[in-house]
Amino acid sequence: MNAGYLLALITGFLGGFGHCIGMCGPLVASSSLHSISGDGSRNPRGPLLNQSLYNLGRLTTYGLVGAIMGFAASFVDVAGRLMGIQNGVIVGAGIVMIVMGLGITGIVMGTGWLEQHNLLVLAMAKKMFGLSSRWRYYPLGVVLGLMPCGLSYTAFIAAAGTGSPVSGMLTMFFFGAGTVPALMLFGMMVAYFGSRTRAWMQKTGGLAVIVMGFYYILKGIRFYVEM
Amino acid sequence: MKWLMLFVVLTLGFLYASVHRGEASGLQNTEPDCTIDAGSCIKTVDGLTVSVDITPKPLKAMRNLRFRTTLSNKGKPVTDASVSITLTMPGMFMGQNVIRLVHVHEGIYEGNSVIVRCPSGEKIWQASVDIRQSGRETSVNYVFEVQ
Repeated sequence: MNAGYLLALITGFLGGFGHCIGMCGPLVASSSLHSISGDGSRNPRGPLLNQSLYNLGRLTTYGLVGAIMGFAASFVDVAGRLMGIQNGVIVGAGIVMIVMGLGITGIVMGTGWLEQHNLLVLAMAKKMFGLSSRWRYYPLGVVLGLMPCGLSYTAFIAAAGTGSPVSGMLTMFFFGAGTVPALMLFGMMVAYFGSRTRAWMQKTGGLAVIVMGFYYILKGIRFYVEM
Repeated sequence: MKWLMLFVVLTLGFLYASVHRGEASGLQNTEPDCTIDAGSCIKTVDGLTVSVDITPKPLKAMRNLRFRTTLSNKGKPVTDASVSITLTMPGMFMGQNVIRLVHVHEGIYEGNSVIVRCPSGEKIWQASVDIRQSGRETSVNYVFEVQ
């Protein structure tokens, strides 16, 4: 294996445990708790498939952005264009977490209340999570792969440095693949313990997810202000 | 009541972990020893004087930056070294951004790169200047803040 790809894989692996769980852990916990809250399933394959699809979505975005970085051979040019989108994504992630939290707690069971109050983004997120298909976790991963993240920026610099779309894509693919074990493990642990706790504890977790959703929104606004 | 208490504990736990993730991962916050916006930073290790500067100023994240290192040994410029700068964040694992510098003139080595921004709000970075010359390896660290 190319030394650059190996370095990207190791960076992703170490960063997965040292960085991603801290930064993206609440989001992963939200989707894990949400995936078990609907049917109260104790089937371990459910959350595993959901997390796999979510991570596949992230890898898709990483690969695509890596290819663009490699093609442009410039991190700053591409990142500058992505920043506006990324601020929207982190705020959107906060909104999604609030919706998931509302679903987990059972505060909002249907879309009626949201639609009545014309909260379009909330209604769209709620609709997405109201779908029965597990494939909804793939587009979620695709979108959230655009979350602003210092660790992935470092990998994007390496991708831009390759000066080739294929090498840039592969660099980011290996980096993303490295982050998967930590996030998968974390997501599965949350799902495992979540499925074995009492309903009132799950609801408590849902409330914490809502609070973290607001925290993500504030973080997105602060990141925008500092730009 | 227990419902509310657990909610408060979980929320505080999430927020604490979010704010202190660097310390939780065993990494230490390091105080800056270099005011890079004020000019170049100079250290002497094993007789080797190593100066580092980053431009343009004021230093900002997510911008194209020029990294410059000047090497001298007892006042004489060192022109035959292999020099790189490795950027890391002491408070959080951000991977390593390795910048290869090339010799441009009389002990001056230069290279281009970017210092990334972390949405967590961490701003302290460490630049490790790694110098290889005549089979000898020297590493000099500078800790500075980036807006």
